[in-house]
Amino acid sequence: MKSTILFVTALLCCAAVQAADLVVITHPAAGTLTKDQVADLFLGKSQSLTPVDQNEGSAIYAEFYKKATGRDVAQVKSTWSRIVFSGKGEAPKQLADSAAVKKAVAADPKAVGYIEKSAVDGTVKSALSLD
Amino acid sequence: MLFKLHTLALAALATLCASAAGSAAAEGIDFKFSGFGTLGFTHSSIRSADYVAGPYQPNGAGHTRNPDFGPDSKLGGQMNVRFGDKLSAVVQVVSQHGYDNSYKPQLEWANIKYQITEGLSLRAGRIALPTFQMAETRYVGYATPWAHVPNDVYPTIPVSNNDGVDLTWRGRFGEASNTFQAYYGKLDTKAPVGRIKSKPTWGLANSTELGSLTLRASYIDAKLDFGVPALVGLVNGFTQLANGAAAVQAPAFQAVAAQARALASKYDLSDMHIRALVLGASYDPGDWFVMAEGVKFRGDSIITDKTSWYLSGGYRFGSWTPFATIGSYKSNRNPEPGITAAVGTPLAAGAAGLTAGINAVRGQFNGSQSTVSAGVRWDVMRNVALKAQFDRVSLRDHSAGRFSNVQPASFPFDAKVNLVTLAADFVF
Repeated sequence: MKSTILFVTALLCCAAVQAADLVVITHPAAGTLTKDQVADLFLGKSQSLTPVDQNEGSAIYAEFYKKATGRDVAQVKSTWSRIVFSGKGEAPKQLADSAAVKKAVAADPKAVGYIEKSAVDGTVKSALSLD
Repeated sequence: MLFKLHTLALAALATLCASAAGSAAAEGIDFKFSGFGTLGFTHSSIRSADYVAGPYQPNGAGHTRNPDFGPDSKLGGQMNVRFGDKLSAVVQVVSQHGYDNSYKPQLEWANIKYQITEGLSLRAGRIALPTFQMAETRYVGYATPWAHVPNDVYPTIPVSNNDGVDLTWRGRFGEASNTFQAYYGKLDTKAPVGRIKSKPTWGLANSTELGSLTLRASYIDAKLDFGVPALVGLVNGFTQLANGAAAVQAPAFQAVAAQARALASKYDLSDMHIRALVLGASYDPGDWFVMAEGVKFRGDSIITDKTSWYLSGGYRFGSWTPFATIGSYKSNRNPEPGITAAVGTPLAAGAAGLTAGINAVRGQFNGSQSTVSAGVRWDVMRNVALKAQFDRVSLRDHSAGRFSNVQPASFPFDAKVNLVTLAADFVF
């Protein structure tokens, strides 16, 4: 019994270590966001803020979309291709890394991005924690 | 004025592009080029007719070639230009198997968009027609789960763009986001049968998104000039018969004249008034999806009333998405009774010939069929999807359904046709 609990605890720890905690960030002057609002912004259903994306080949990109929208990379790509090629909008601009995303969000009151929790600092606001 | 709009939009776009290029460092001007394409092969189980993706294709898989890559292959490029916050423009060019049997690129869109307020925007130029759920991306295979859009439904309104203006209003009501579009313009297209002009085409579309649910309704109304010489000659035959009969001062002949004149007016090809109501819904929570769409089409002249619908669903297992679709396309195929008053008069043979002619044309333009499809999409790598799809088409009402180039002697009327399509879609 005890060993089972230990085993489960170990598993949970490993899972937590494997998937770094993500934070949705906005300009320090902006309000907080719900998960649904974040999903709408990053799937093109809402234009109230301007999403700033990570590189689509990165691990953080795949993890963010899975956590925030429940969709994997191919589904996200398909969703955006539907929006882009219907002339209704443009896919979020993809930046090189978390430092670039943080810089872009800090500079634009309308921007929203996501980075690792460990990368958050005073230049941006933590609008939603995804873990 | 309206028919100059798209030329104007193009000219404006060219000017804007030129000035943008002239000041490459100009702030707020943003260019984005993207593209899409599909390489699709379709094999048909019959050689006596062609499977085509729509009435704009002169031939396809089955009779002309088998298998054929014509029906479902295409290549598109799109340029989005943004000039600051308010003004943007888009140009899309698509190359696919067209009316003249070539793959000559066609200008699909070229419009300028002005964002009046956060929710309201105005577009002018050549704009996508918002008829179906997937109307604006009907040529973008990657954006759909299927190897081709449901063939029972989409060819009911084969046109995909309109030259004119469009007002789009987006709003949020609590949890729901709503998009309403109204458009007005005209269209000048060429099909293998001849030139078809609209004067005008207008319509409305409304789409409501609530979480994973999307509900959509659209209405399109067009006055068409169906300039097909052979058909115009046939309809003129009724006028000639009416004039000939009217010259004879006998009640029987006057009755023939009245009926012939009524038919000449009924089948007038220069003022066809067609309308369609499209209702659609989709539910896509991520791991699976279902979508359905139905069209009620009101025809005129040689194009009769039609109803078509499909229901499709799929489940996403990682990069694999198996899907299944059922659909139906049904036209009014009641024959034209013709000039019944001519029976027993010397005009009977001529009248019967014209009636047979008009019924042959009606039969050719108005088919019925139903389809059961199953397939799988495999997202093999980023930006590339491979698809395999099997369609079992049941031909109905002694018609050729959606098939063209029908060889009546060997065509399997009221039987079933199997289609197998393999496709590779990509976007960049």
